[in-house]
Amino acid sequence: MEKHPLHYASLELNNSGLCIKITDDILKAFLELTSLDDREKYRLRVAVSEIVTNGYFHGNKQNAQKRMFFSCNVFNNRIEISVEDEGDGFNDDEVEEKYGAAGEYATGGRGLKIVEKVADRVKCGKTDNGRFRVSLLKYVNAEPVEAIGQSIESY
Amino acid sequence: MNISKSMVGDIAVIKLNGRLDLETSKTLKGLTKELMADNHNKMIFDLTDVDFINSSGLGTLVSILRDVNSKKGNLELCSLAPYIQEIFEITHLSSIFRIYENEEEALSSFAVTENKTE
Ligand SMILES: Nc1ncnc2c1ncn2[C@@H]1O[C@H](COP(=O)(O)OP(=O)(O)OP(=O)(O)O)[C@@H](O)[C@H]1O
Ligand SMILES: [Mg+2]
Repeated sequence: MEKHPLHYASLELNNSGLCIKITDDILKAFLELTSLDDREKYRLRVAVSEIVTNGYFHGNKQNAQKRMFFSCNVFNNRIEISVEDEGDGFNDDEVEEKYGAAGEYATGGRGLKIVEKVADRVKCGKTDNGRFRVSLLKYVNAEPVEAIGQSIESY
Repeated sequence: MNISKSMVGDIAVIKLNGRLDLETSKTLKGLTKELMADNHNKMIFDLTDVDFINSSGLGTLVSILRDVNSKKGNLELCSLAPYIQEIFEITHLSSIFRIYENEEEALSSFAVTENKTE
């Protein structure tokens, strides 16, 4: 896999509910550069919003003093998104304990299920500097910016 | 998220507009709490203009459905864009919500239920 993305964004955000909308707007713009159809674009936006929402809510516990780190890298065959929060993270056992027995009327526990369904690969874990990172990979075909100069101008 | 409400008889028709996520769900939940405090337990949510929903929005809808059910009321959904409907399907929620093509169909479902109980 080639190392350098065709397009990328890397962003530090203060932890607030606004992170969900800001990161979605960025992702939406990047997705215009890919070959995904509208349905797939939408599903990916929802999946990423789940990860960001979890970072804001569970990871950073809605604490406005905490930060969130978002990055989006578009390669010619894939898109990679990573979200880091300043929380402790989680493991599968905790999620199983919380939602394993939850029925269809549960008011939560759907976010990660959507992520698993939509992403081609998901990885979670602590970073060297103690943040919790969730990264998602989705295979797409993307074009270099020269080829889409027209659509960039009209964006 | 913009929310507009109109009453058709004793049914509250609530038109949602924009994003239904963690931030905006709270407004919707607040409105339905007020309605139920006034004993309005029959509702239609028209999602025509909802362009984004994620699990926070879905969880809020389930929570409202539970509230309404506990008061023996009704919550009907209508006019979901195909990609919004798909999120309901991925999360298996299309089995617990009644989802109608449009507002008229949702409204007539109330007439049918009322006739049945007569
Ligand atoms: N970034 C995170 N930091 C800490 N815990 C997390 C994080 N992401 C997820 N979790 C844990 O995993 C659980 C499951 O997440 P998931 O998104 O599936 O459900 P939820 O957020 O509880 O509800 P929903 O997403 O349906 O509104 C969470 O309740 C939380 O305990
Ligand atoms: Mg979640």
